[in-house]
This record gives sequence, structure tokens and C-alpha cells, in this order.
Amino acid sequence: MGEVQVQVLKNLSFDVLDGEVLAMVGPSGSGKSTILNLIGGLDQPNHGSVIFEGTDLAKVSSTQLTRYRRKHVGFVFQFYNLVPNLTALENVLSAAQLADDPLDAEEMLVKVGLAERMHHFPSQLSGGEQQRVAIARAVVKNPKLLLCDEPTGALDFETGISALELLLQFNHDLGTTILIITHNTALADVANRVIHLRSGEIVSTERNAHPLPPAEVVW
Amino acid sequence: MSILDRKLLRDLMAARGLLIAIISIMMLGSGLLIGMQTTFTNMEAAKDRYYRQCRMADFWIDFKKAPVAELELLNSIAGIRNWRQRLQFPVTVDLDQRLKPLNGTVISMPDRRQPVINDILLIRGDYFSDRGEPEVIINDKFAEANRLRPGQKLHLLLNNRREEFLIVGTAISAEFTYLIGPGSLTPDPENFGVFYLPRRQMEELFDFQGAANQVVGHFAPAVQRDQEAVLDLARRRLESSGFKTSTLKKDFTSNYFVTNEIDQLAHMSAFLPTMFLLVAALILNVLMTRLAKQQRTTVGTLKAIGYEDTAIFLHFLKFAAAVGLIAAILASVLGILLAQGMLAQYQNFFQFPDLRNDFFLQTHLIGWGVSIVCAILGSLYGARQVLLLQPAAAMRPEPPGQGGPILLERVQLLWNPLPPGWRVVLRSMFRHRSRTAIALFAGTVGAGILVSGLMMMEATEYFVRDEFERRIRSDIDLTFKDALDRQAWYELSHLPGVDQVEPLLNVPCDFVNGPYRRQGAIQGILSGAQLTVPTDKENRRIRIPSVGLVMERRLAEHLHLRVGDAIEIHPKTGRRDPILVPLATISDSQFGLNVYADLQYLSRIRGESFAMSGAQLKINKAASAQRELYLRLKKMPAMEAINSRMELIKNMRETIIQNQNIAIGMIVVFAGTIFFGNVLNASLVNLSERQREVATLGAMGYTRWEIGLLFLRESLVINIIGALLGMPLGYVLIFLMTKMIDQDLVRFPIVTAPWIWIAAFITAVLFTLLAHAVVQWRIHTMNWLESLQVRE
Repeated sequence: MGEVQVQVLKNLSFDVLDGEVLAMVGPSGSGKSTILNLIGGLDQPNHGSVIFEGTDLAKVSSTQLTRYRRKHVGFVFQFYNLVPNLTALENVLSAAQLADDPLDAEEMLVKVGLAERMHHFPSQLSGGEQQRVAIARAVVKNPKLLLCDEPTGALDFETGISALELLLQFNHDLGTTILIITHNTALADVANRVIHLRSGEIVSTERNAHPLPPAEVVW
Repeated sequence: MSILDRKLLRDLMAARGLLIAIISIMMLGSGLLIGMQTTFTNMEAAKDRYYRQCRMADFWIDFKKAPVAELELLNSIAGIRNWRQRLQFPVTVDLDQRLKPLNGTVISMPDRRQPVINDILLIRGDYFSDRGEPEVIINDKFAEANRLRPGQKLHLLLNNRREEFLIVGTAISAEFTYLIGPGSLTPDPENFGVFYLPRRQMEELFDFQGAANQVVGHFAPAVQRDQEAVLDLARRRLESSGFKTSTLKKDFTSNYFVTNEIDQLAHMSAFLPTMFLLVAALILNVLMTRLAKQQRTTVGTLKAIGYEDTAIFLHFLKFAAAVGLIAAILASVLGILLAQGMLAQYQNFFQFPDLRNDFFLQTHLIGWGVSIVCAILGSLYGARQVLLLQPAAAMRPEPPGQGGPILLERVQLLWNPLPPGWRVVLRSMFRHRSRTAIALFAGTVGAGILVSGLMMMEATEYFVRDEFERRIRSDIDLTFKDALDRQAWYELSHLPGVDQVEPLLNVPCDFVNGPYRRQGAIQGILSGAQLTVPTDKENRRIRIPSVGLVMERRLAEHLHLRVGDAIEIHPKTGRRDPILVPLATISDSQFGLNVYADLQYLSRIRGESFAMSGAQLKINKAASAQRELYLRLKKMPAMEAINSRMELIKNMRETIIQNQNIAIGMIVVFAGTIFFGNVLNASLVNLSERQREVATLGAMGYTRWEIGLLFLRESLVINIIGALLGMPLGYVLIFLMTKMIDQDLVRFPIVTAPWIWIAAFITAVLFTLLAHAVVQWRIHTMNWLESLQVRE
């Protein structure tokens, strides 16, 4: 995977490396979500560039941006954003249908531990279960980039841990690059690299030589 | 099925409450289109088939008594392709089982069956035989209504004789598709019939050997616009042969009614569906805009996942198309049923041999197309909102809606006394201006349809009252074979059971004013007549002047005449020299193009001191008195026709009321559907938007009824204002509708009555309450806790 270079807000610039788990940590208003939207192709910057595999996402059309999201990006939202009128399986399929070479949707749901709940609607699932569906939906496209916006934000401690475990497992099994943004500094312990943000600036960047397994993280 | 399509199905199911409202309005629109178009096409086709089958004439020419040899002159007129001479007379029928003499027309047919112009279509029995016994073929509906069958005998009073005839067959004919007696509006097969006699027999009965009094014929194909010129030429050539009047097919009574009905059907089948579909599209627009807002996050997510804008746009349009399709399928069913009902109704009025309810795929496809296109148009705006949504923005919660005071709040004089409940209602209405406007529009259209429909009923009622009870007040009208003198008046007034007699003198004539010429007749009445009362615009009685004519406004307009102008009249009976007479007064009525004059004045014009061609009677209505009077009248030799107006009016009223009840029922359902759908849609959209607010009120301790009241107030305000605006709209619609109908024979009055406004108001309120019941039920089943957690 090539470099993703972003210059955002106040002279902000960083790379995302192929296959790494990168955490961006900062309080609200630090620009995390903006960065995520820019990298995910949901938004385009007024100035500067977002380069993905040599293409500047800041300069492409919205159609190309859609194609980029479709092929390369998987999103995990804080509030899951499942389509309420589709079952768990159908939610996953809705993403699978878009990919050239998707993974098996049912298998994904089995992997996230929802073999028994595949035909339930979001309203019939707990928050943790919904987040697992969301993760399965993000991963099923077999994207290069998995963007997670506060993936544990709406979950209790234990479900949060298991969601994290899932994400890391996909990183391990499929080599998916994962970018997690969170205001929860504890989460950063599981990442290979952590970028601390404040008011749109990078305060520090640190590398975890030995990321903790999620089970050992405490917040 | 793609995942999005699955979502579509579930979205449809979830919105079904709201969709029922829209689908029912849209279904009515397309259903009316399909049903009325099918009826129209079938009527038109049945008429064309029938006219062709009977070789329906293009024109009729009436003579007093024209030698057949002289009629050959018609052959020299290039515009006339072929023609047939025949005899036609009014006739009185004396049925053993009926007290009252019945009326009809007797027409000659060739002795042996051969194809002729204005041919008959035998329904039962046979054509005339050679047995030598007097034979008659009678109108099939008359036969049916009076339980007459071939093989039975029938008595006709003709040429002063009571003759017995053997019924050999029953038949119908295209020229009497709409068979009505003189002066009537609705068919009355029980009391008015057509009787066909062999030519030879009829000649003898009426002393018409070698003569005829009517010609029916076809124009040459090239004659299209100059038909009147051709007939004018015929008039000039045959003036001396006793030419009386000529009638074009378009003015021929039966065809006039058939064509007018079909034309009206065509207008209505375009107009009514348009109104419904317009309302449906606008309401759908409200729903789709709401749906787009509701699915904001979903749309954002789908876009984030990588769905293209067009895919999501199409997804929303598909939603609309599905709504249109469901409405279309239901509309097809409704259309078939409607056509069936309407055609059955028409079959009661018109005598068609084969009025079928043929299925026209094309009509259904058009209905489907219109329904779907209309649904898609109605949702374009909402779907566009989806298109414009930026995925990143869609994920963020929507900014709070507008707040702040509305314009009305500045008018403190009005605003301050308002209780809080009403303030909420008004704010909500003003903040959603386009939605309120659409709801008001729908309410207005609903009321407009209701009011115009009811006004049409009222017009018919007014028409009958005004024309048949106020303007002409006689119980029985008599027509004599020839003009009689004062002695007849005296004799009539001494008949048992007769309370009042007024003589009439009918003089058929042409009215000529320079280049303008019209056929017609002058009705001579007593200057102080009580039984015929011409009136002016303000419905005031017009006194018949001792000199000059009283002319119907429309005829005066046709002839470009003003009061005081002199007009040339060419009488067709009596002394036939043209004479100049002044136009003394203009009269206004709703029926026919009547011209009145003083009876004595008119007699003098004819060169006589007194003449009467008929009489109007006011009678004692006791059954025994009537029986005796009828018996005496039947025996009077000079009688050509005895018309019971009491029966005619009674019958007309029954027919009209029967139809009106069906029509009113349908109109109320149509308008009610709009009122219902309108309020249901507006309230449910409103409720879904304000779910959190409603739940908060509930949590605070408001009862569910109190919360319901907030919504009911808004619904009532909208539909009641709509109903108020709909009243003038209904008036305008009626005005336009009357403009579309040819007005020479019937001019429908534009009248309104308090009951119409009250009915519109009550219907609006009633259907609002009905729709509110659904909303109230929703409020009652709402879970406060869940609703509080809704992310708006």
C-alpha cells in the first residue's frame, strides 16, 4: 500500500502505512472527524491534498470519489448507521454487492459471532451486536482501508473490547490497514502508531513497539 | 432482488399508513381516467356502430304535405347523396291496461323489408307480413315497459280514428337512441313510444297517397361545412311543396343528447383525473420530502459505503414508481367496475343494441403510465434532496429547524388572545409553508369537486322546478290535428274535471333578420296566461304585449336582434306571406328557444280572428275525475296528442333523483377521499417529525387526547379553510363546464343553495375526523420512551 499523505488544517501532514493500525487521539474539536472524512472520501479539502496510491483525492470528481469509497474503504461508525429496514445479513450484503471481489457475507457474520442473529433487524440487536454487523459490513468488501470513528464509543467496556479484538483480527488475517479515531487515549495502546491531535494540529506521534492485546487495555 | 430493492419493499411496508392516503387518491385519479375513457370509447363505438347499422340520417326535412313527385327535386341538389321520404305523425296510444292515453310517434316503413335510411333494428318478432291485417312494429323499450309482446293487439288514435293493430315485432332505431317525448328531458319508455307502420297502410290512414311529410337523407361526402347551405337550397327549391323545417343531425334531439353526453364524458375524463392526480402528486411530494429527511443518515451511510448518487436517486424514484404502480393496478380494477356501472346506467337512458364494456388495453396502459409518471414527478423534489445530500453532512445530525416568531405574532391584537394550543397550530402551519399550501390546495380541490358536483344536482333540480313547474304550469297539454276556433275552448272548459283551460297557437316559422336566419315557432298564448309564464332575467313574469314578440335571449342573440328591432317572420302554416313584426321583450329561460306572442295578435297575423292549435289544462287530480277526463279526451276527434305533464314531471323527477343519489354518493366519496388523504398525510408526516416533541409532552403529563387535539386543530383549520376556498372554485368549475355544453336546447343554470355549502363543510369536517381517528390511534399506541430516544 502506498502512502496516504494529508495536509490538513494547521500544516498537518502524516502518512498511513500499509497494514498498520493507526490511532488518532484527541479531544472533540481536534479535527479527528474531519481527517477521517477526508481520508474516507466523504469530503474534500479546500487546500492541500489527500493522496491515495498516487491519486490526489482532493482533485477527483465526486463519481471517482464514490468509486474510491466503493473499492477501497470500509467505514465503522460510532452509531453503527445500519440501514434499519435491512436485516443484519442484508446490511452486510448491501456492501458486498458493491465490491469487485467481496468476502462471503455470511462467513463474515459468523466471524463476528452473529451466526444466530443474521436475519434479525438492527432494532432487534444490542448495540454491541449492531457494531459487529457494522464491522462485518465494513470488512466484507475486503477494503484496503478500514476507517473507524469511535468504534467503541457507544459500547460498554466489554463489548468495546470484543469489537476492538475483531478489528485487530481482520488486520491480522487480511492485512487491512486500520485507522481508528477516538478521544479515548486508552484505545491507542492497541495501535502500532498513535497520533495525538489538538485543535487541528499534531501534538505528537508515537510508535508502540509492543501493542497491547485489547483484553489488557483498561479505560 | 438487489438489497436496495429489498429495502424498498420494506420502506413501502413501513410507510403503508401514509401510502394508503396517497394511493387511494391516485387510484381514484387513474381509475376515473381509465373508467371514464373506457366508457367514452365504448359509447362512441356503440354509437358509431349503431348509426352505421341503421344508416342514420344526416338531416331531416319536415313538410306539411309534399307530393312525392315534387320531392324528386332533391335529386338535383349536388350536396345530397341520397334521401328517403316517409310519413311521421304524433300519435296517441290507447292501452287497455292504462288509464292515461300514451304518446308516441308513428313512422312509415317500406312494406317489405329493405335497407333504408334511418332503418330499424328488429329485436323481437318479424317485419310486416302480407296478411292484410293492420300491423305495427313498436319500440322495444316501450314494449318492455308496457309488457307488450308480438302477437298482442294495440290501439292507436290516429287521424280521428281508433285503430287496432297487431304487434308483429319490436325494434329500435338509431334516430331514437335517446327516446324522449316532446318537452321532456329524460326518457320515459312507459309513456312514450315509437310505432312503425307499413307505408301503404299509413298512406290510407292519413290520406297521404302519393305524398310525404318528412325526408331523411345523407349529404354527399364532400359536404362538411356547408350542410346548412345545402338545406337552405332544399328549402328554396321546395318552399312551395310545403317545406316546414329542416334539422341537421347535430340538432336532432336524440343525437343532441347522445353527443352532448359523450362530449361531456370526454371533458370530464380529462378534467377530473387531472385534479386527483395533481393532488396525489403534491401530497406525494410532501411524503417524499419527509422520507428523504428521515432517511438522511441511511442515505449518507449508503453513499459512504460507495453507492452512487444515481443509484440512490433511482432507489427513491423507484419508491414513487412502486406507489404509482400499486395505484395503477387498483385503478385498473376500479376503472373496469366504473365503466361497467356507467355503461349500465347509460343503457338505461340510451337504447343501444350492443353497448359493450370492451376492454381497451391501451386505455389501461395510459392510465398506468399517467399514474406512474405522476408519482415520479411528485417525488422528484424529495429525491433531489437525497441527491444533494453530502455524505459527511448526512452523518451529522440535522441542524435544528427554524424557530422564531411567525409574522402573525407581530399582530399582537390577534395573537395575544390566542390560547397556547392554537399558537402551536399556527406556528406549525406557518413554519411549514409549502406543506400547508399543498394541504390547503388539496382541501380546496376536494371541496371544489364536491361543490361543483352538488351544484350540478341543484341545477337539475332548479331546472325542473323552474321550467316545468314555474314557467309551464299545466297538468295536461293537448295538441290538435288542425287549428280550431273558440268553440273548442268552450268545449274543453266544460269537460269533467277540468279546472282551467288556456288556448295555445303554435305557428312554426322562420325568423329572418338580414343575413341571420333561424327556424323556430311562435307560441301564441293569452295575454294574461296563467299556465305559461315567460319570465325575465330576474325571474319576473313578463306580460305578453298586444303587439310584437317575446323572444328567448339566446335566439335574439343568434339573430342579432335587440328590443325594438323589427324581424321578418315566414310562417309555415296558415297564411304564409312573410311579415315584419317588432321584438317587444326578451325572455330568459333554461329550455329551448321559445318565442311568445299574444294569441289574438298571432291569429290576426295568420288572417284569422282566433285560432288555437292546442290547449293547456289544469285539472282536478282525483283519480276518478282523471279517469273520466281521459276517457273523454281519448274520444275527441280533433286530438293529435295528449301529454300528461304531471306524469312527465313525476317521471323525470324519479329518474333524476335516482341518478342523483348515485352521483351524490360518488362525489362525496371522491371529495372525501381527498379530504381524508390530505389530512391523514399531513398529520402523519407532522407526527413523525414531531415524535420527540409529542413524547416529551406525553412524558410531561399531557393526555394522549390532549396531544391528539393539537393535530386535530391543524387538520380542521386546513380542511375548513380548504372547504371555504373550494366553494368559489366549485362555482368557477361549474361555470366552465356549462360553457363547454351547447346551450341551444338546454342551458343549465348556475345556481347554488345553502345546503351545498353546508354539505361541503360537513363533508370536510367528517372526513377530517375520520382521518384524525387514524392519527389519534397512532398517538395512543405510541411508546413515549422509544420516541424520546429517536434521533431526529
